[in-house]
Amino acid sequence: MGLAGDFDVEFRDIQGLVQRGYKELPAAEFVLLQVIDAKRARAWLSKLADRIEPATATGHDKADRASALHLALTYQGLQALGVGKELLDKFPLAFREGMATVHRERLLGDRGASSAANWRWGSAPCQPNADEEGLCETDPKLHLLLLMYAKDGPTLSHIKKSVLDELDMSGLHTITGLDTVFLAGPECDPTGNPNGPKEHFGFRDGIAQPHIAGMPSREDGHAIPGNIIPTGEILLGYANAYGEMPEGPTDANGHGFGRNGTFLVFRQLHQDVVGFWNYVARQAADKGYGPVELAAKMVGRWPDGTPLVESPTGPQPTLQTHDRFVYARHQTHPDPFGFHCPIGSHIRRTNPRDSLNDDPQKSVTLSNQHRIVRRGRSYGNPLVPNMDPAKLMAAPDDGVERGLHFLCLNAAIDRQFEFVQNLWANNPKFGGLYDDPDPLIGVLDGERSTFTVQQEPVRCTYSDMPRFVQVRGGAYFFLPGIAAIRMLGSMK
Amino acid sequence: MPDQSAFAALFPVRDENVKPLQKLLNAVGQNITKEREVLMDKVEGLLPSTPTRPRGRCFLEFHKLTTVHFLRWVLLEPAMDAEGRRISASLAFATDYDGPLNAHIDELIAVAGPALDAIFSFCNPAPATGAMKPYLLAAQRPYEAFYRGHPGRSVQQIWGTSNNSEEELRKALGMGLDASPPPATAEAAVTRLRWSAGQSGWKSSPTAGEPQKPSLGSRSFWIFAGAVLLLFALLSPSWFVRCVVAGMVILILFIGLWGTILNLLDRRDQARERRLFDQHGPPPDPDGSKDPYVSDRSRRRLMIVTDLENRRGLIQNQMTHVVNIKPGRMRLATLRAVLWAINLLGSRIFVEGKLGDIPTIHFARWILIDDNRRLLFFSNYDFSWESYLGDFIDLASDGLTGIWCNTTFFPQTRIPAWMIIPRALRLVLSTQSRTGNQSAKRLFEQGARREQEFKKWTRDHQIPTQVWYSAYPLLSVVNVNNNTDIARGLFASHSGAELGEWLRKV
Repeated sequence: MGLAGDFDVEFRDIQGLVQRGYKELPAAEFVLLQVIDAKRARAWLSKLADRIEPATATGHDKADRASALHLALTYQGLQALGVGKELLDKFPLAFREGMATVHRERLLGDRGASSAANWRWGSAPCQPNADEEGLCETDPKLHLLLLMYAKDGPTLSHIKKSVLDELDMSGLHTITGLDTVFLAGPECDPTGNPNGPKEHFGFRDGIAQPHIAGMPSREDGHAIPGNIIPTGEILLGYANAYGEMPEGPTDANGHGFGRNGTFLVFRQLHQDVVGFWNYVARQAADKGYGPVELAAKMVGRWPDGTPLVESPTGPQPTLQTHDRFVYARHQTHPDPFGFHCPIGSHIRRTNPRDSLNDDPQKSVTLSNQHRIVRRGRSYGNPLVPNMDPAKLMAAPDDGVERGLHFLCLNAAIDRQFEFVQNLWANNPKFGGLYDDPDPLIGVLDGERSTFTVQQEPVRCTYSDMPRFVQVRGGAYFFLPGIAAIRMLGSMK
Repeated sequence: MPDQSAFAALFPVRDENVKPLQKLLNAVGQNITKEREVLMDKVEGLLPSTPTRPRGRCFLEFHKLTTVHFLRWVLLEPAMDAEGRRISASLAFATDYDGPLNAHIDELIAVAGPALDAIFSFCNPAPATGAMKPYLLAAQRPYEAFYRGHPGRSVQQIWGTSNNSEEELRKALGMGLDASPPPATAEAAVTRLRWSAGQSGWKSSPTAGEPQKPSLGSRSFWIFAGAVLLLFALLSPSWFVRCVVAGMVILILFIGLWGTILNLLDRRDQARERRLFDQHGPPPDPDGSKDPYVSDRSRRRLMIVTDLENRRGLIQNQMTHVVNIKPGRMRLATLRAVLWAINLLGSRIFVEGKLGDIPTIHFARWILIDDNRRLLFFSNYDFSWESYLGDFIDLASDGLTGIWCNTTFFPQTRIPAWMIIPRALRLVLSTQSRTGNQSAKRLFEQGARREQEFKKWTRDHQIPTQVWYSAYPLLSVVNVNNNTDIARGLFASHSGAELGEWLRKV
């Protein structure tokens, strides 16, 4: 496994979203489309392919970039465009089945209000069966996902108009448009380039990202040992962590339709901000932690982004986007038992680094077999404009629908995204715990769910945790290489 | 002291009885799932009161069983062996139980008599009236290898319906700690914990002592053997060295030759598999099995298998895996030798809750069936299939490849015949020092290390387990072992560091 430049990655063919999250383009909208007329839709795709922003060999951002366009397709979308069975069958099962199946609902913890039966998009109308479980399937009409990024609102409207105006003529139907907001916290530089947005609970988001071998990047953390994953962990057509070609429509050498593509997991996650801060304020009162302190324990970082393992007593402005740390064998603050950053905290369990088992070195290797590249954007107006935790806590419930459009990229959905959600986030037994799902994104059961803060002399446990995040919709997409989009466009 | 054992029995089933038996077993299995889900609804407050229990022959009152850790009925549909000969259908019944066997069988019959009668009436021969016990015992099958994740612990000790199980103790201790104000010092915490234990009425049960520490044979034998060797080495050092060297050379030669022959045989086997595949054509859909001798090669079987996984109210899953053994006596001998070694390791070395490095297996078992033509594997493990297979591949690929490279359609494996002994030595030596790259620490580079192909092969040969019962569905292996540590440390005297370590477990 080498650093940038050791081997050829075909930057011009890879959609730029793999390389960057466009933090300099704070306006964004995602549009879900249905293919009505395959022939005209293919012609539209041909034209669109030229406008898709590719990755670059240096990873530096173009200073004058005002917008970016990207396109992903569902299995049904490929079918609707007329892709043949032989090619379709080569896609991995998770992608072919889609997110809204009974089996995957159980894996991902999508039940109750989060059940696919209650989704706003992504699942077909369900009929309750005898087992009282909604028998759902992936929405057969959800075909394309158009991702639009721009430097400001007017530019976004302009792009949107230029792309969507011709939609009806192009044999496409808009299912729904998904707005986003860019949440800049008090720490962010208000004038220029905010170097890390917040999410609705008030925490800096999107800090830890893996470095994809061979793909230089400005914003995706550091290319340091322990954070570099083989190209094939994200992109089809390159060797993965096991030295194999990821499953998909490529040949043994990695060539073919799938090359330079990746799977895009999209989940619309509703966040109960009032519920979260109410819980934290209520629980913190009698156990010796302040509310922000307890919330930070649950997340693993302070609201400004400072990792707890580095600075357990409070935030530090120099460490806001710091990601160069491990847990068990940290050089100055070793934390094998979770006294600084709890074992069950959100960031420690979704990327356990060197603390997955007793062997720190092996642990890093194993953790890195389940990395994802996150490209999420928030949606819905914030509860308070400046995301200050004290104000979030005091604010009354405004009933506004808000949350995160969670987007992530990976080459093997079952070994990466689904594994992290199932085994690390939802699993109440993570790290030897008993009843502790992920306090943010896990399937919290109320009465039965707890959050444990490891400390001396004995741990302290918070109970009765309701679920703060609900799933509102979702689907598995394929984000193809640009040549593959042209191929789709030129199919007869 | 009664210890955990494994019981398995196989019963022939006539073709015409396969469908009705499957239907009955499915009904029994669904009742277990339903009951657990009702329980979960109750726990989560979705249901106000206990609903009436369903009755009838499909309903087994599993909660009344006190000797059963895990139990399963699996229908093995008619199949074909690696040489194309027919294998008729059979019913497998297996339990992981607390001994002795007699009492276990008696309890099964007392609790589930009518259900056993109903199920086994589809087998051939069916049990005679009142003769269930000899019927079950006569059909018993021995295992080649058996692994236990928490040896020495009885069901009652782990979970139990009484208030005296280690899980109940842990909960009582936890409630004590949660009471305000939290203990300020380690000593105060211990006092609080001991008081809570007393309040809960917990008393160390007779089975709660030290878990059995199996040894590698009697100590006096090893002392004697060591003394003889030492004497030999002292009396004639040159001869001793020569003997050791000669022994190593013979071992390397033998294993090397053996492996080389297996590699040669493998070419023949691969050709045979290709021929079979061509003869029977590709599977009906992309997720179907490549192995033409799998009874149902379509995606349907996979869907039934996955539908049984990750159900609510339990954090465990199970696997029943059955596959043809490659033809030839050498394959069978190799398989037996590897399983013998795994059994030895499993019962003598891996007794602290980890098989290799895998800390998630409650019980696992390998059984040769159908006149040694097929290998049957039962496993009861924690968490998802994806994580279980991942652990297998990342932490135990050598063991897996060693076992299953002797079965059909396994991802191609080249046995590094002449390198096995040197690599094994390096592996044993390097377990102490954790440095060096990972690939140097494996016997086989292929086989189970072909991650995607190995996962697909595993799914190809997995069959639905119609009835599966777990006595403690909400406890992981790590939980069970941690609970024992908590119980054992409660009244022990700890030094400072030990005390901290114990308190972290609570």
